[in-house]
Amino acid sequence: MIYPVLMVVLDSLKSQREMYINPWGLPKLFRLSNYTEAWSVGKIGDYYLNSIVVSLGSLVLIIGIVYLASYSLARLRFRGRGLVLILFVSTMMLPIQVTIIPIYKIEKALGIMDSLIGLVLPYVAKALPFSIFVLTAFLKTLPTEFDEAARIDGAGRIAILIRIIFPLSRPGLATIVILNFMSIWNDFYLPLVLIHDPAKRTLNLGLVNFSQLWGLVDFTRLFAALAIISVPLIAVYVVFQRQFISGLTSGGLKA
Amino acid sequence: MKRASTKDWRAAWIFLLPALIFFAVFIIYPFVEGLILSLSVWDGFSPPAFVGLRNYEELFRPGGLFLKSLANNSVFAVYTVIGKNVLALFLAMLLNSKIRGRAAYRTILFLPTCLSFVAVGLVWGFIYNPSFGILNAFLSLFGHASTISWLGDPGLALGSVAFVDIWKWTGYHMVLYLAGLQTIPSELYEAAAVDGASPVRTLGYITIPQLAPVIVVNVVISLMGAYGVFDIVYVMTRGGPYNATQMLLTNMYEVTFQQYQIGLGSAIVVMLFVIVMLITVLQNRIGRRLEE
Repeated sequence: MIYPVLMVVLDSLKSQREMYINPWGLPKLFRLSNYTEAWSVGKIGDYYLNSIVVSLGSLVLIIGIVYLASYSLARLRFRGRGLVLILFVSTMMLPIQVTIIPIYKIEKALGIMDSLIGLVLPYVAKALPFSIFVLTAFLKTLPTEFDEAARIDGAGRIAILIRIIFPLSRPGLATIVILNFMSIWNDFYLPLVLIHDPAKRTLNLGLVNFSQLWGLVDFTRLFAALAIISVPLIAVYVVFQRQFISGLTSGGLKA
Repeated sequence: MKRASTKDWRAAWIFLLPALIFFAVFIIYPFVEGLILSLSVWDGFSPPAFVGLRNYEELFRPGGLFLKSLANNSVFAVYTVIGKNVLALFLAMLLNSKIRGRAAYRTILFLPTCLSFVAVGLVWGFIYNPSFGILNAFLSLFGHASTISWLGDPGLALGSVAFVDIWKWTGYHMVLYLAGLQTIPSELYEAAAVDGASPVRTLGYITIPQLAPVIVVNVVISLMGAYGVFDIVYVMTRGGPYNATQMLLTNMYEVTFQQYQIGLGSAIVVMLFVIVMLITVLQNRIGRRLEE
């Protein structure tokens, strides 16, 4: 199960020749030239930056929009609330590929094709239904006494929204952050369709191009690139594994 | 009181507004537009022309690529749904017994869930490589040299790709099964042990019936995943060799973004949507029957 991950790390430290002669063993010496070449020649550094900008930008928007919508659905009474909830829940299972062709058309019309914002906007939209579903359920578990106590103390609506309920919803938001971060960071389909400019490639798209460039002749450099991409993620996963496992399986457990 | 509720009403819609705008522009409108495009011929440049159901007739033409990819995709679904669920349930039962290092096993088995399909596909592409891949090197250790082309042989490619998908997702399903197993009251197992039931009978009469709702969820998730598969196939085989691993979405990608038959591609997407709806309806039916 774990062997492919180990193989990547070990082989990325070997020279091309050493890998063919000794595919199983440890590398003879600890060489990092594959890493430096992948970083500079393979432009992994640029792709990293693009992926970080897209993921962070999407997450900030997702948190803000989802929090406001969920607060409204969970804690305010208004006509049409049930209808809005049904609208979100019914599109939860829709794969992004179902809407990709018109999104391509819209982005062409708006002139945001081939830009990072052109990735962020569909990611945010894609994240909304399930994230709102999860956070609304979470916010409903917070007792309304919090709001009432704050109101009696003279806090306005905005103060309650930002200073009282937002900090309390951190556990629910953590689930949303992990779930969406993973799906955005690992996504390949949207960049493949929407990004053509080599400078705007995200990590996964860059990696596929990289493999077409070097993959068949130069596995050790490809593995160095794979290690650069995967190892930080694996480290974060190992540290926050409880949150990761519960966050990523929340879809299944709630269904 | 009345004043407060009108205020509530206004605030509620203001808070919902950003979500609804995103939702309308990037989900509802594209969905409707997709339905309309599926009834048109469009190359992306000249204005689309309405052609009724002609795209769907084209899809269901006997011997066409769509029917082949639907068949391939269904075989892929059978392989992966059975593989993931049987393996995951087995591992979950192992981890549910009192073994040492349970948390560590869980961490390791769940790890591939976090990796991207692209990374996973590239690594396994190397493992499967016929001339210097690790798999053939390993098989060669037992007697004569193995030169099997795991991804290049049309008879093997689909199974090889399915195996990688199983490897990636088994840990995920295992965690769901583990959570399910922990809700089964231990009295049931104690009673079975008192009655002297064999492990197989305990599995068939206690574990599986008790887990039925969890099994339904796992099967539905893996089934949806199977028909939505794209990345791993694109990275490992591009649908080849000779379309042996052509799936619904790899077919759709080629038709839409390489041949610019956008109407036809939209029709494939509508068919995918129909499949997802069928799975959802089936899930609700079975779920309701289980509750009774």
